[in-house]
Amino acid sequence: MILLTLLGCQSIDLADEWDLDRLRLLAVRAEPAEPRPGDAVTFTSLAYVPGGAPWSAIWFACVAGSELGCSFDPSVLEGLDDMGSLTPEEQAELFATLAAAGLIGVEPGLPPSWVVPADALAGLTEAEALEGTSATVQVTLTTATPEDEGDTELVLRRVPISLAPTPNQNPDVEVFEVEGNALAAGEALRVDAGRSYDLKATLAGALEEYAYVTTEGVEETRTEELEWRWYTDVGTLGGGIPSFEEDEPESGTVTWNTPNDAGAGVLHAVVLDGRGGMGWWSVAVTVE
Amino acid sequence: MLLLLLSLLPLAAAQDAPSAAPPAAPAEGELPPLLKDPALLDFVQAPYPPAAEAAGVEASVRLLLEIDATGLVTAVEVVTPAGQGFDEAAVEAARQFRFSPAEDATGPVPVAVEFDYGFKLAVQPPPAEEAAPALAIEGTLREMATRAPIPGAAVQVRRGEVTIATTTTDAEGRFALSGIDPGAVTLVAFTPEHQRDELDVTVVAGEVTELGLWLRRLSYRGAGVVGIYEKERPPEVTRRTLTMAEVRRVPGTFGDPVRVIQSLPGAARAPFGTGLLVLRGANPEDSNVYVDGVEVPLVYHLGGFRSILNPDLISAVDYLPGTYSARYGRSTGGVIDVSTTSTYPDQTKLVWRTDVLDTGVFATGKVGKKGKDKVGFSVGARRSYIDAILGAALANAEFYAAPRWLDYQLKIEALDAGDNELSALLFGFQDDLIVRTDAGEADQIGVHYSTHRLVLRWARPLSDTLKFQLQPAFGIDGTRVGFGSDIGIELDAVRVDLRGELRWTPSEALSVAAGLDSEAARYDLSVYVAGVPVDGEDPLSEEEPLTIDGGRWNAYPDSFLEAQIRPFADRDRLLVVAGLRLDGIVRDDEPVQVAPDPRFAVRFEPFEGATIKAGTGLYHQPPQNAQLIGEAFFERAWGNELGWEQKFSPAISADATGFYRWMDPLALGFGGEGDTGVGRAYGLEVMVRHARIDRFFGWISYTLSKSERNDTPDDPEAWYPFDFDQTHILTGVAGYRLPLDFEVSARVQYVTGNPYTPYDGQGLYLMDEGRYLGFPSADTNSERLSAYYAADIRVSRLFTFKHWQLEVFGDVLNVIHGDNPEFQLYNYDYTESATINGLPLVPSLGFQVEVNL
Repeated sequence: MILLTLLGCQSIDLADEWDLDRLRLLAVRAEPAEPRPGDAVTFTSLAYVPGGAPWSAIWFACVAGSELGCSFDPSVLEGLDDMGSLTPEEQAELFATLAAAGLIGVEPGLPPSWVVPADALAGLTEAEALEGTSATVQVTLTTATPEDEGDTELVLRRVPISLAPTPNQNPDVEVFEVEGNALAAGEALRVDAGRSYDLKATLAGALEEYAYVTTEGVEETRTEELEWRWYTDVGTLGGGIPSFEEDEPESGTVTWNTPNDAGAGVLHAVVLDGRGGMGWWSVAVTVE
Repeated sequence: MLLLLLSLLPLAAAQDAPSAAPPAAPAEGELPPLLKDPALLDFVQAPYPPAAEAAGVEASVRLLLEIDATGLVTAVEVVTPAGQGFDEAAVEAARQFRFSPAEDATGPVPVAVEFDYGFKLAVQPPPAEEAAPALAIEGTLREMATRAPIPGAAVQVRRGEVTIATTTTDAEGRFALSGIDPGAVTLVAFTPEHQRDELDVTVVAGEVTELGLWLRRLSYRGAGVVGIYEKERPPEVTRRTLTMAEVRRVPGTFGDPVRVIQSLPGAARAPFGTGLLVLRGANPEDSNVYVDGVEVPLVYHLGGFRSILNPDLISAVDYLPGTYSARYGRSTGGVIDVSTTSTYPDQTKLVWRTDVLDTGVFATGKVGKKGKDKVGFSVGARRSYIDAILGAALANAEFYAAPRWLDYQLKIEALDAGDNELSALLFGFQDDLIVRTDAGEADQIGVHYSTHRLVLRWARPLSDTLKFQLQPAFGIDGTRVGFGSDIGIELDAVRVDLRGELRWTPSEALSVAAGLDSEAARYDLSVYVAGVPVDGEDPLSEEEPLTIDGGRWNAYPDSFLEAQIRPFADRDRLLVVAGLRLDGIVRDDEPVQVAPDPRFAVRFEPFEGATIKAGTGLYHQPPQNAQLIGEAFFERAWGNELGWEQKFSPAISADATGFYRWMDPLALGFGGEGDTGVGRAYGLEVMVRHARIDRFFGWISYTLSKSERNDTPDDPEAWYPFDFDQTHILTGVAGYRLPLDFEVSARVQYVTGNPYTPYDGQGLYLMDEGRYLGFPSADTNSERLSAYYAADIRVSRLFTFKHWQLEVFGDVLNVIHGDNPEFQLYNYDYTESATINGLPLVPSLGFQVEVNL
């Protein structure tokens, strides 16, 4: 109790999660969002790389087990450092070895894609298969080079796998508004320094509904609840915890305070549907 | 020459109490407060040193008298000498004094008292005239505030500058003066310890003038029992007992005696002053708190500023950090036993106390007949308002949380001519956590505790060698935790405790006690959580509401048998205590479990003033967090200690004790069987104390210790420091009584910083959950916060009026405004950290009014 009081009184200046001040992997979107065994899945990501530094990403995927991530022999990655000196045949052999270990992509160069193992749902009953299981996607994003340690971000992401007749769909952000004015897709934003702006992002279409059978065996229809995450590297985001609008559950809002000095940066609105689906809207901003 | 009893220092002599103790005697092992001060029966006039008399010098010699259980003076020591022959004369006279014995609940006990022997030049009476035998003036002399009669005071009658009559008051403070011619006179009354008082009186021929005179004591600070002393009596190897007179003046306690425990050896510093009991490296939940032997869930109100009992109801606080008697159980750590007052005061006393935290009122008195049949009562209540003060002070804060508490106490006790001692104690408290956010007061967020206890006690001697007591208690506990509409937890408990003891003392060499210490409780739990993942391992798992409604009985039918053996004729020379406690767990749906706790302790006095002490024993307890969930199992500790106590003088003593505690098994989490680890704690405690004699009191305590845990006992490399492992704890406390009833006291403390687990920014981003899983950069609790330095001060001033007293006091915590880091806070991805500091400078002002009716 006193601790809480003191936390309320003491000035604690620690970096906030919305503050993009280092290498970050903000979102990973699987397509389809809820694959079946045997489906091919592609992945796109939203990363923040300060200063446009050269970066690389290594992707692994596996059907989730008892371990937190995908287990593999890390020595299989050693060959990647010498990739340039390998012959095409040796490269192919290395990739085969890495693929067997769960490697699904190396960026730049080899975009991540994964074929869900056909036996991913083996051992489950028919009803359990409808509920499904999940896969773990493990990403190592780094700006490290042989000359520089750089920065590294380790990320785990779950992707549901099931035989659901109406599989989950990724949410898509359709409208991004600044002070009530919608931006066109890809449109950059120019704002005044030292001001506050109300930002609002809205999903395309209505919230998804889906069937769910409770542990008591009761069938019910549920509606997705969205989670919005906002990020920027210019100014500050405030107004409490960014969240969905109660009156407009398909929208998320936040207050953005631009810095007093001119500058440039980005704004990202990331949305999660709580069932493994992800989407985002990114805006390049210039503060004048 | 007049005298004043200044203070009483109980000696280590309860063991000298006769075997046929009075019926009010509490059970062996408890520390009874003094029920009766020694009173001077035979005063011996010391010859005035001729040289001093010739020089017209007056003086006062402060003596320390040791009085045995029969009231005889066995030793006299000069505390404040006066020289010029006064000291020798006073000592010689004091050796011949005779007192009525001091008594505690066990009967007459030896004590030490301070005594001011005053030398005043005799006033030359006027030339003898015709005797006028008629009584002219009579009256009673009483002390202001306490209303106590003053015996032995000088009363003079003056006419102008001439003293025409003189007398001294009797034991009841009465005086009578005869042979005074009619007319205006001045009545003068004085003692060396009181301010002189004069009263103009007109004597009328043939009439008797009746007067009531009041004298103000020069200082009221000395009265009472000296603050902290070791009651060197069995069966505890280390029993530190705190009594009220001075511990309330220890800075940093806000006047609460229970908080003084945190300044004693073996008690770790609690973070933010919360009062968590971390005794000899044990988990806080593994130490038990009792009120008159009945367990209570909390010793402090929320926030840790106040204990749950009104200080005026507390007569003593027993602090048993280690190998304690078989009478105590269901804890593997230490024990705090708070004893309530057990007196039948001649006067009704009212107390009103207010400071920045709360306001309390208290009354105690006696009703019924005088003599052996008597009934005493105590009643009190308190209510806090610190939440309102904090709310105003932090009006601009985005968030604050503050405690709000109230408590009440009622005790009635009776002693009849048949030696039956009966008492009923009803007490309780309610605590609420008031939370305010920037969105306003959050009624939907809160914590609520309530506890009520009714303790009945019946004790009586069955014969000269057999004593019996029975103490049933009934209690209700309630807990409410809520966070909006998403989380609601309600836990209610109804409990019955039964303590009973039969003690057989066939001789001074042997005492055997058999008893019960049982508890039965029904717990009803109701939990609602709006969304709980069906599969806790999968962040994409669907959520369903969690609802738990259920209850169960837990019963702990514990019993004990204990023998105390004093084989030598000098009964204090060797004491052996052997005990066996049987702990049980009975649940309605599980097999009965029983665990034996053998315990053994020895105290040996190799020579005068020195005591070697040693103890070992097993201690079992059901894990607190497994009472409702999971199968019950015993946690166990093996405690050991070895120490040396040395008394250098009546005022100065020292104690050094080494301890080792092995905890196996030790519950780790919220859990069931198998969810256990082991722990060990060991160290050395040293305490050097100057008891309150004359104006000064104080002590230095130092603890050197190490407490560790191992969650995977099979791995000998997996030991890590306990969260509250504090290698060095050094505390100094000192108080000094100044003229005009001012008193200043201070406490300084140095404590090694608590350990923490470091992170350096390495982590794993769990994208679906939106959080980072930090990777420690070193072993668990391998780093430490900076050391804790603090100084607290307290200043008080006592004002005395004819019928009441007013004490005004100020406490300042952390007067040096040290940062005092409490824990390390990391940001969302463990790349940055900040230190959360402890309480800043905290001032507190208050007053206390005490009225004797």
